[in-house]
Order: sequence, then structure tokens, then C-alpha cells
Amino acid sequence: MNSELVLEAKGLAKRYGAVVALAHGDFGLRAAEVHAMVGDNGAGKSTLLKLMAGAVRPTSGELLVGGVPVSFSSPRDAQRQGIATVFQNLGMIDHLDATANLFLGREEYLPVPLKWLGILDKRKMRAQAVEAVGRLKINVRSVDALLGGMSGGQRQAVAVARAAAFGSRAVIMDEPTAALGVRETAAVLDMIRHVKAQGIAVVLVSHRLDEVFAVTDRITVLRRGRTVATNNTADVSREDVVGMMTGAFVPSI
Amino acid sequence: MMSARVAQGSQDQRKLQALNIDGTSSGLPLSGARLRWTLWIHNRAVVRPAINLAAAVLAGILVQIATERFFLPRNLLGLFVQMAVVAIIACPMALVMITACIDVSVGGVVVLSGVVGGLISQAGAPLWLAFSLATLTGLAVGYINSLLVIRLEITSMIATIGTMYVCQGMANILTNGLPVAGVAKGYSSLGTGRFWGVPYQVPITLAAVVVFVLIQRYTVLGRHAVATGSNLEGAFLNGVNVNKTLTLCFLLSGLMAGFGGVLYSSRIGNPTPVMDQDLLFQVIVSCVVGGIALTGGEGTVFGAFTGAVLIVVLNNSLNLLGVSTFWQYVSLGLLLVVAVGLDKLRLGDRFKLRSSALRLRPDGQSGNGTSETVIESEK
Ligand SMILES: Nc1ncnc2c1ncn2[C@@H]1O[C@H](COP(=O)(O)OP(=O)(O)OP(=O)(O)O)[C@@H](O)[C@H]1O
Ligand SMILES: [Mg+2]
Repeated sequence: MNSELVLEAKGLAKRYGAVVALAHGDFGLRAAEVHAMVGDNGAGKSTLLKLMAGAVRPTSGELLVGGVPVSFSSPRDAQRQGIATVFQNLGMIDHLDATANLFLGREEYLPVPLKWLGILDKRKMRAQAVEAVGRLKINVRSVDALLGGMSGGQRQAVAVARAAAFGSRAVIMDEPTAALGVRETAAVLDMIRHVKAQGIAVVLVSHRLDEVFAVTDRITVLRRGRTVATNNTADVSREDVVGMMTGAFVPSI
Repeated sequence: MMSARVAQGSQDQRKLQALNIDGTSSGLPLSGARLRWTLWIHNRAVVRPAINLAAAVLAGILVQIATERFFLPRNLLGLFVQMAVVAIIACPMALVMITACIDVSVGGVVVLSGVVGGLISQAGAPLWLAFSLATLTGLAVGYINSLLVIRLEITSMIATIGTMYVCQGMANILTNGLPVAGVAKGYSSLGTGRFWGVPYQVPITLAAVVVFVLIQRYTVLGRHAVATGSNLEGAFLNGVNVNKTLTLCFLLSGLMAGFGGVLYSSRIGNPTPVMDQDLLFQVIVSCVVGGIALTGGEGTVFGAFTGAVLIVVLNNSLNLLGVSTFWQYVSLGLLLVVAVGLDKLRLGDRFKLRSSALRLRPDGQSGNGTSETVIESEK
């Protein structure tokens, strides 16, 4: 089980000109685990996630999916490998309805001659969206409502549902609960457990340590662009984690 | 719970929810015709075209009363002929503008493609070849536009102003600035020919409009165009192939402008390397009056078509009333300003306000509290 990593980052680095956004990111994601990634603002969490999601290309380092080295040139490549991501600053489309957002980049088409023309199976997508919204208990008025008319929490819920529905290997979430109220947060955490129960791995970035300790199996701490350590959630205390985040506590590796 | 409500609700109920209108809490028990009416007046994609068509019909009726000449079959068919090139180019332009780009090269493409068609015909090639190669010239310019916008990341407005001038210049170089003489006899058949009294341009225009309406509503291109125009980065992050989407839109725009050039030169009879500035602006005004926002993501192809209809009807009405061309310019300008102005007044709705408010947030995060603020207070 130990060696069975769904997704692995080995010494990933990303530089933007002179700015080092990520100096050395190590991360191993096991099948069906919920793995937290924590760190202060600017620690490089979002950068590491973007590298794993194919949104940006690494300056150096290696990325492996199921033990095989990969090089994603766009999020589409990652999606094809079953890795779906909720990005920190919502990538949702205001001018499309919830269904269209749920299926964006993963559209269902009508049977073949029509598929070649890119003709969508709107009915099928809508039915699946209604089903997903019901199953995940998302509180939106309708799957036909435009995202632009929804609250921050509803939009976030749609984003999470999208990733949960399409990540067949791993679901990556960058602060999915940041804009949510108590009830919506609980719903997202439920969704995470639900995804895990289906055997899909989850990466959860969050600043709320209580929720991290509530749902995750392991915790990886990042500090100033470097991976500090990865521990079983059961083996560390809140203080340990905060210490690693701030640099007060350096674990002996 | 939600799904049950959606599944059981009637089609109308569903749409009502989609528009975030609560049929019950408004105090009016909405049903039947009343409900359908509420739905319609709140749907921008319906309202804008409806207003345009209503205004066009109203203008027609008034002019008919005044001159008794508007609803003559000859006048109505003439309207279509006047509108053909504008409408044919406005349809793909609508798609381009939905992606938040613009293609102003179409004016130049029309000239260049006409000249290319004329020269090929002059050289003795069959008409179908001349027309096809002329249309493909437009496609080539569309491809160049897409490369400039995607690979070199030049703003589409600037890139296509560039190609517009290049096209115009090329057309003049190819012809020494003179009209192309000696085209094949049937060259003007496409633009002036009739079938049972109906100009060919009528079915051609209708076919183009129908095809583009279908593309926008039922294909992945239409959906991805909205995504690209509404939120470029978000579309990319969600796995939309934004480059492919943009390329296809510019290709379609170039293709139809190329074909528009064939129609235009065929109607005039001999291809002339002189650009019709009005054409470009009529196309853009059609789109904007039709409800397409320059900021992208909004509007429909059918809306753009109704914009073209309204413009041509207004011009025709003023013609019939004997108003000078100068006043027609004034009316076109007023139409544009009024249409956009009305929109701003009407759209004091939440969505507009919310989305612009969102854009102003430096961190781009939506909703009640951003991660940053939450963390600050926790620490
Ligand atoms: N596109 C970019 N260009 C330049 N610098 C960047 C870019 N993206 C990130 N950075 C820098 O890289 C560092 C890491 O950023 P990142 O977004 O990964 O942090 P984070 O751990 O996700 O923080 P937060 O908790 O605030 O979301 C920051 O200092 C940031 O300014
Ligand atoms: Mg971040």
C-alpha cells in the first residue's frame, strides 16, 4: 500500500522570473486517502497544486501518475488522467448555468455522426447534473440557473461537485471551504468523505486546522516553498502542525 | 430535496427557478400564460431580439401607413438583399465577440476576397473555382488572425486592424487600385440572380443564420465560446481548449467574410478594391444592438441577426420617407447608443452588479469571506 501512490510530486519547483513560488515540493498521494496540505500564506500550496493539476508547467522536478512520469501541458491532460481540481480563485463561468459548469471541458455528446459536429447531449448532461446535485445535497435553486446569479457558497459547491464527479483518480481542492458558511462547510466535508468512500484520493488545502484534523488521513506541511514533512494525522498534534508551518518546530526526518 | 423539486417541477417552474425568480414569494400565484410571460420578460436572450423585431415591425407599419410602400414584396426582398452581407458576417462575428474578441478585419477581407475572386475569374477559371478560392482567402486571413491573437497574444482589436489594412493594401496592389474588368459573364449571378422572383441572397442568408444559431446553441463550440469570453482563465483551468475555441471562431469569421466578399462583389458586378467602412460598423452595431457585450460571454447569434434586421429596416424606412443619408447615419448612431443605454438601465440586476463587484476584488475570491481574511482573524 505504501508504494501505491496515485499521484506523486518529486522535488517540483516553479519560478516566475526572479520569484520562487515553489522551491522544492514533495508530495505523495495514496489511493483513497484524504491528504491535507497546509502552510502559511504564500507557502506555495496553490503553486504545487497547480503543477499537479496541469495548470502550470514546472521549472524542474518530476510528476508521476500511478508511478509513471507525466508532463501535463494543460488541465485537460490532468483531467484525462482522472485528476480533477477545484482551484483557489474559482474557475467557474458566470455566464453558463450550473449544468454547463459541471460538465465544462467534459461535455457529453450525441451519438457519433452528430458527435463529430460537436453537438451536445444537453438532456443527458442535465439529468446527470440533477442527479449529482441531489446526491451531493447541493443547495442550488436549479441546475439551469446561471452561476453568476449564485452566492459564493453555491458557486463553490458547484465547483466541488464538478471535481467530485469527474475525478476518477484524485480530486484536488484548494481551500474549498474558504468562502463557505457552517452548513455549506459541513456539506463539503461530507462530499470529501463520500469521494474517499468511492476509493478516490483527495488533496485538501485548508487553513482551518479543525477541518483538516476532522477529515484527513495524512498532513503535509509546506513552508516557504518547501515541503517540511508528511505525517499521519493521528500521529501529530495541532501544535506540531502549527510549529512546522511557522518554522518553530523542525521535525527530525 | 433539490433534485426532487427539479424533477417534479414543470418545464416552466424549472425555468423560473433558473432565473432566480420565486413564483410564490412575489405574492402573485403565477401560472400559465402569466408565468410564461414573467419568464420571457426576464430572459435577456429573448428580450433583446424581441424588442429589435418589434421595433422593426413597428417602423415598417408606420412607414407603410405613411408611404404605402414598405410591405410591398419588392421592398421586403430588397431589404434582405441589403442585409445579406451584413447578416452573414454578423453571425460569426457574434461568436467572436462572445469570446470577448473582435474581428475588424472583415471589412478588408470582403474587399480582398472580392478582388481575388474577380482576378481568378478574369484569368478564365470557372466561377465555382473563383468563388471558392475567394472564400478560402477569407479563411486564410481568419487563420492568420487566430495565430496573431493566440500565439503572439496581440489584442484581437489591434491584430485584426492590422490584417484589415494588409488585406485592403493587398487588394489594391493586386489590382493597381482599379476595378477588376473582364470577369466571367455569370459573375454577378450569385448577387443578382433570382429563383421564382426570390433573390438567391434570401435563402443564402437564412441558411447562414440558421447554421450559426445551431452552432451557438447546440454545439460545444457555442458553449466554450461563452466560457472563454466570460472567464478565460477559468475556462482553461476547467479543461476548455480555449485556443481551439478562439481559432475556430476566427476561422468561421474569416470564412464568412470571404464568402461575404464574393456576394458583395457579385452584387456590384465587378470587384473593386475599395473598402466599404460602413459594412464593418454595421456588422458590429448589429451585434451590439442584438445584445452582445464587448466584454464577452453574453448575447446570441440570433440576437445579432435581429440587430441586422433592425438596422436595415430603419435605413429602408428613412429611405422611403425621403430622409437623407446623413440622417440615416445619425439614426444608426442613436440606435446604438439607445440600445446600449437601455440595457444598462434595465440591467440594474444582481448578476451584473455582482459580477462586476467580483472583478473588482483584488484576490478574485467570491463570497462572504475570503480565505485570507478568515485566516487573518484566526491567527
Ligand atoms: N503567477 C505568479 N507570478 C509571480 N509570483 C507568483 C505567482 N503565483 C504565485 N506566486 C508567488 O509564489 C508564492 C507562493 O504562492 P501560492 O499561491 O502558491 O501560495 P499559497 O500557499 O497558496 O498561499 P495562500 O494560502 O495565500 O493561498 C507567493 O509568494 C506568490 O506571490
Ligand atoms: Mg493558495
